[in-house]
Amino acid sequence: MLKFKWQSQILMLAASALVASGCSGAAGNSDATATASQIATASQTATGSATALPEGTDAGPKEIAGGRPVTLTVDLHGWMPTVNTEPTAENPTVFLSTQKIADAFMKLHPNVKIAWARTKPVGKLQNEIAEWLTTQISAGTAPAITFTWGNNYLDRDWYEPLGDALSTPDEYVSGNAKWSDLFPDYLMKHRSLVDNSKQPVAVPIVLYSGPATGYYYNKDLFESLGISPPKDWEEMFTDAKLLKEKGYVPFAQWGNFKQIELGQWNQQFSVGPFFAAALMDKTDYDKDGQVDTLETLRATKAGLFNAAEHDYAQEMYRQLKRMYTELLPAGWQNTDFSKPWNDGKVAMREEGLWALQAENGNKQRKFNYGVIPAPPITKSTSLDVADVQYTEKGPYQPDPDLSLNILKPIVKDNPDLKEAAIAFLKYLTVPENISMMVLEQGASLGAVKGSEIPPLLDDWMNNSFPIMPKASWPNAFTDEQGIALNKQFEMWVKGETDDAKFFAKSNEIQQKSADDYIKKMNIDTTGW
Amino acid sequence: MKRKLTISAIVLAIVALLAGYDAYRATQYRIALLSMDPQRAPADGQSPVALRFKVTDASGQPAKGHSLYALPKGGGILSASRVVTDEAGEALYTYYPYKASDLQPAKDVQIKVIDESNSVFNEINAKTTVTVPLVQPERSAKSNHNLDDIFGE
Repeated sequence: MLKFKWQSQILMLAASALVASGCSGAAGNSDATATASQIATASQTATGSATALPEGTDAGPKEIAGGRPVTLTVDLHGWMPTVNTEPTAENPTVFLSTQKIADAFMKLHPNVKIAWARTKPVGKLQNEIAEWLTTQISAGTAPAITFTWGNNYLDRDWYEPLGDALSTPDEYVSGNAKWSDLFPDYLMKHRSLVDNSKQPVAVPIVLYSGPATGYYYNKDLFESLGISPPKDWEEMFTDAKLLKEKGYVPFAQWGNFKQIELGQWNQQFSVGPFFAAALMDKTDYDKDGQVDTLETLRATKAGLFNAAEHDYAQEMYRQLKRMYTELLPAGWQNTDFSKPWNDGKVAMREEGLWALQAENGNKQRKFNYGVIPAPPITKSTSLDVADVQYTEKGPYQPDPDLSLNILKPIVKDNPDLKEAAIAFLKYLTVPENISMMVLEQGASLGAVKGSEIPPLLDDWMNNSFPIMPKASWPNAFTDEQGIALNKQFEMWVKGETDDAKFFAKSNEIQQKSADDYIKKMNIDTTGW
Repeated sequence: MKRKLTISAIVLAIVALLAGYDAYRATQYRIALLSMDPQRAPADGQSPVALRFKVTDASGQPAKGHSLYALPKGGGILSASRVVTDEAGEALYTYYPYKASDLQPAKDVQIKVIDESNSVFNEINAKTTVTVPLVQPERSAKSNHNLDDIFGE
């Protein structure tokens, strides 16, 4: 039945008018839609009036920048406070913890003004974020504190080293000798948070409550068909066959993936790590239990990922190709699966765990849903993968969800700003502050010891989880060669080139990208 | 010009009629809070508060299968924001308060509940708002899970 939702429409019109006139637009935990003029000062959207340090703090903060005025622009990606402060049926997402933390920080340091980087295209792909950051850095308007998926843009020399700061006390936490003591050991050497010298360049704030992404599935549909959601990669294809026969869309990729490309979530979470883990006896050169960027680079140069030579490498690519040829429905690139999902026509949908709260509040969905970890590839598909290990209960050493960098080009000539940025990061990582954030968001874990676990995760964390290997399958090491490799992959998936040509070309591109990266980063390959 | 005015008047009349119908329907249903357990909840970020609501029609009969949508105002989180009423017209919500701290002291929270099912044309719904009194926790409450195990320490 057609519903004329005039209230919603009037609100939308009003919101459009506000955006058009340059006033603050809506921002939330998903896409921010503000314009360039909307880097609002934190105090403009303040709702709390926090006045004191968190309980247990007695060390006392130092004066920042000798009391000189500092404006610190901060990007917390999906964790920025929402502009709306009261939930409504039309706009139910409200997130205010980080605003309260910023307010309290500014109260402690009246010379520091925190501004939110609301122009960041949160929710966009990594290459689009890189483009935005490049522009902002060139203009000198990039946030001093920003989110870049840890060390994702290491080759651009954007990151301020944080090792020295992490060795100093966090003055906002009582009895703290070193800021790094607040974090579990595995995070201080996490391969996504350190540079090629293993020095930290990103501070972890919150963690995924297990894998980073999951498959949201139509519980009612699976029950009505008498099948279980897939536990591994092969079961997913078995389920998909039946679901297709019954007229359903078996699987929809994450909404932002609209091209045939390598490096998407199926490679990152279901396939790549398990092929890469089978090579760890050779690729983990320093035997520290994880394969970092330099080790991956070295293994690439040693030809261990060469699909022209190794059957296992060919098999890895074939499994990625399967998703496009056997799983995705025709026309997937031009389809918005939101409505079919809400109408119960899509059986499984790939989505981040960060979307749990939004899905819980999804008023359009007409069925019960569940979430499972992205199904890992096992030996039932290929003997070339490592055995998948599972936890008895709960996740094990989950990866960072939000980790924050200080941008070197922005602070290098501004010691006051650098000091303020480090101080705010220290304040943000006070366990009580992290607890406030994760309890309000409800679906993530704190990255510091002693932080709270949200009660909404109780059932979720009773599950057994696949332990993600600390190794990944490399694509290209530079953006330029990444585009070339994706093009070759697309041609192969579409049948425009044959296996032999693709495997040879992929190796050629990978080798070229490795050489370019070594040269650009001035990496010493002696002994390789 | 006159024709335009006439058409506009007709459209407005139709909208008003439809809105009036939904406004009337909204008056035909009532949402009542049956129970809240505990009556005063510790703001510890962990302890649940069970809120049971009942939807009845104009004749006092339970309204089964109505979709209720709830929003906490003032902090905390619901295990599910939408719950469908059962045979007895009842729906159970679980609310988790925020953790009181210096930055957010314990204070009462409002939970607004909307009956989405009684609106046919417009979003004019029966609704109610209840207050959950939050108090400073006497002792800290911990999760059933251990962060040290997750960290591997």
